[in-house]
Amino acid sequence: MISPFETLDAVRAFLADTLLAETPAHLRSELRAAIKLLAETGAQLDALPALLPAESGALLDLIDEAGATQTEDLRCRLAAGPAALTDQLALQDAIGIRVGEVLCALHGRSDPAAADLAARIVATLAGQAQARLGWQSVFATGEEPG
Amino acid sequence: MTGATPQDMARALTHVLGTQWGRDVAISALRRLTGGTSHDSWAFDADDGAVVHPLILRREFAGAALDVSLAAECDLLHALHAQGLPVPRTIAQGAAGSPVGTAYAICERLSGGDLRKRLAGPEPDRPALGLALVAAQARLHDCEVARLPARFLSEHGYRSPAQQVDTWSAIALDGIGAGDALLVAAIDRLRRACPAPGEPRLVHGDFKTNNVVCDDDGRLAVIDWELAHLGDPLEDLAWTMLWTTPFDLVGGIYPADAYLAAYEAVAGRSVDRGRLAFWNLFALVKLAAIFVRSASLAGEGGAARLRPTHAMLLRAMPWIDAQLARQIAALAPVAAEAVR
Repeated sequence: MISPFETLDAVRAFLADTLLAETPAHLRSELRAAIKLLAETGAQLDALPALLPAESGALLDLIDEAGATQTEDLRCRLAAGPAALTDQLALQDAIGIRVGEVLCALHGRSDPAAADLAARIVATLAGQAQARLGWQSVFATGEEPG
Repeated sequence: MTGATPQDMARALTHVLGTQWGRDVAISALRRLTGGTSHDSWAFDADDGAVVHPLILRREFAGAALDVSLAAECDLLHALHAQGLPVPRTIAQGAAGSPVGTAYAICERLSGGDLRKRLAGPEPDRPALGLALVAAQARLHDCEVARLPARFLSEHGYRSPAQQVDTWSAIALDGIGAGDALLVAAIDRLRRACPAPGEPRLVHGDFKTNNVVCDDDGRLAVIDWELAHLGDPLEDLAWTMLWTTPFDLVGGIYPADAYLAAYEAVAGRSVDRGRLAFWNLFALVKLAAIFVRSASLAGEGGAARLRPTHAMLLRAMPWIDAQLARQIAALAPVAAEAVR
């Protein structure tokens, strides 16, 4: 049986090798973008199942350190083991909401411990964002604002 | 005529310009340039029997509440041109229901293309282009606000830093959601470190090399004024600093510090680095909002669909997040001072 990724590759190859040359000029940029999107989302779908649990766990540890309450449900969902990718993404979003709330609370404090923890959470989130840079092609990796 | 064919458009332009100039006009070399979500652009030549005019038509086919209307933009360009500032000369404009089918503006088209293309071309004179760009930006910031047109001022008068944060963060959050913790934290940082309102100056809102065109004689014209408003000129500098490929002003011509030094020298005023840090972070939130908005706006003719090119923009959010993290850290001392 053809794997999902082979299917995506086959569709992408058909679009790039056969359809692109037949496409009117004003739609070619859209088709080129679609071809890139298939490659990027394919790589993303392949990597996310292994990435998300570790990322979610790291963020839950950090917000627990900040004294966040009512994280038990999130912990239970994470501990329940392998879940559909849509469920994992929903959990990541729910954790992200709590992380955002924690960061805002830490910003409101003036003690060095709060600043340190906020900096560590931001650094963790930055690392998670960096891990996703290869799944987009709008900006070059390493391109940074001045 | 939102889904106009080139033949439809040529007929409409012949009528519009023939009426405007009071003589027969022949339209040629008409081609649609890359369209936006709320506007599209066409390049063409108009021969009035004596002169061939290279022109650009811009049409407005989807309401975008934050953008300057095409009518107000035309008024603004006319006023800036009258002040001797580097903008294209407007030729004609019309409201919805015109022969062109939508609100439209026709402006002169400079021959040399945009500066991004020039910087990507063979042996660009980078020092001269850099100085010209910085000088153009500073001159726009120094234009006489009192002489700007009433329609522009009523649509896009002064916006304080706090108002800008409220406006753009609402769009970004609405489209991306509160699950993006870095976006939420960035907006919180901006609110805590918001600078006091300053002297209102003209802000272009999207000043970068592909929005500056240049003719073969080196004359510059700044285009794409949809995001113009009165505000803090440092907002413009921070936006320019967002774009750092070899074909941009920062990164392509100047390192960031040298760009700021060049601006300070030309404008004759210093750039408050703390205030700039606020705008650097704001620029990323605004960028996220613009990407979201591009994806959510109805397409030409009101067809709501996510085009692949817009989906690509949304996928750039991890890059924005990575930069948000960097700028949140840069703004931390300013925000901490505000908390104390």
